[in-house]
Amino acid sequence: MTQTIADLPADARLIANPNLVLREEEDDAALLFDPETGSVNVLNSTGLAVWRLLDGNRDRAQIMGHLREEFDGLDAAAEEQVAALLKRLVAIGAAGVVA
Amino acid sequence: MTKLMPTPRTVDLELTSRCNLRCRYCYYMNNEGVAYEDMPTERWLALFEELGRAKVMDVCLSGGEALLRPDFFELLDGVVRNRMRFQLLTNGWPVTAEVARRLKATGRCNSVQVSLDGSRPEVHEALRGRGSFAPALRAIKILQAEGLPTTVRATIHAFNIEDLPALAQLLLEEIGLPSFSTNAISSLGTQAKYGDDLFLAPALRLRAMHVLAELDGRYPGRIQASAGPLAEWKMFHEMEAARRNGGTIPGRGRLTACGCIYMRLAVRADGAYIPCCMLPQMVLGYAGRDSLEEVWRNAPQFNALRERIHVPLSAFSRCRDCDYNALCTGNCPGTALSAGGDPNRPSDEGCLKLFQQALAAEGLSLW
Repeated sequence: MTQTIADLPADARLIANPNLVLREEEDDAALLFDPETGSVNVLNSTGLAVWRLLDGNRDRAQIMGHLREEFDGLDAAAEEQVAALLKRLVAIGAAGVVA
Repeated sequence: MTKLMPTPRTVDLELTSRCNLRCRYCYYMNNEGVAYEDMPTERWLALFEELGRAKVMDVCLSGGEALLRPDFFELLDGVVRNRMRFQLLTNGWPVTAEVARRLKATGRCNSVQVSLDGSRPEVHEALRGRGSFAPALRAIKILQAEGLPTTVRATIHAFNIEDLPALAQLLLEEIGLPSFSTNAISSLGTQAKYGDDLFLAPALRLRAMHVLAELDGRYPGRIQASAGPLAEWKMFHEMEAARRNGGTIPGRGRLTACGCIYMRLAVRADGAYIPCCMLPQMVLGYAGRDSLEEVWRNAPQFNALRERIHVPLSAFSRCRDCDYNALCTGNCPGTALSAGGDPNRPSDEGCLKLFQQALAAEGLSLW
């Protein structure tokens, strides 16, 4: 069943799907490759920063807080981008919840 | 230099130098300076682990005839285990329903390409050998029945040009493949060693272009070509249109070739790293001895090849006054080396100017 981020409790710790392959191609971009389907998603620098935080130790608020520290603050557009990315990663099965 | 990705996305693996066929135009066999030996299972598996660590996304399995390896599925398990997908190139002879089932079961197959040069035995077997047609056709049907993405590669030569419409009908209508691709004989391998009588004479090359262009119109988007008469037809017309309009084509005018060396490299059956199958003699290192990433980034000959894109075609005497020198890629360094002895100059194969001159000598024209 496709999961959406809205289905997840706010304190759910998010983890990257270990079956996906992250290819860091350039300084600020990466490919997220699913060998099972062949699908490829492109992550920009923000996406890459988010992906690296999906280690199963942080919920959404903690991920956002970490990014604010890392980038010396996030404007509203950036926070929306991060929220949208997390929503998409969960929706496509690239990220899930630690049990 | 164009910024290079940290590791190749795709690696072409010539799993074996063995083949059950002796096609007269084979680019693979009979290349001077190439060791036709096979790496053992464990060395291939170790290489796949290295490819996995390097985040290579997919591999293209070929040979020779890759399915002849008794450990083929053990090697395929290694590809799968290291999180890669694969394409398989085959002459089709070893393909059985069981082979197709096992390929499908991996869930990682991008496609299987079967070589088929004609719609009937006498055409296909003219240069591929007696008895090779039925197994190839059978393989296509078996693979398709198993639900595997199946395609065909037809190499264009003097004996199959007039059969191409029948081949297209067979593949695209009767069998129902989504597409097939075409190629041409190159100046490598068996063809180079044993004579050049198989190259298409100018008139036949033009005829092949016309036949394929007509088929391309009849089956839009279903006949692919990265080399050979159809690819040349399209490229030559693109160049001529740009010339007439006084326009430019981005990335042209220098020795840019196809650009594959920025995204992939190849491994010979004996473990030698090579830039691609068209440069089999250019050994960059050896799997197991040399780091893939180190070879990819720092092999001197590899980086010298990549520097070709900075060489303007106008630097070459033959190209200097050519109307198309700002619109041309200089074509394949592999054929420049095999036919002319130097990979760092334009290749005669695929040269529009030379082709036009040859046609004019026979009272013909491209346009």
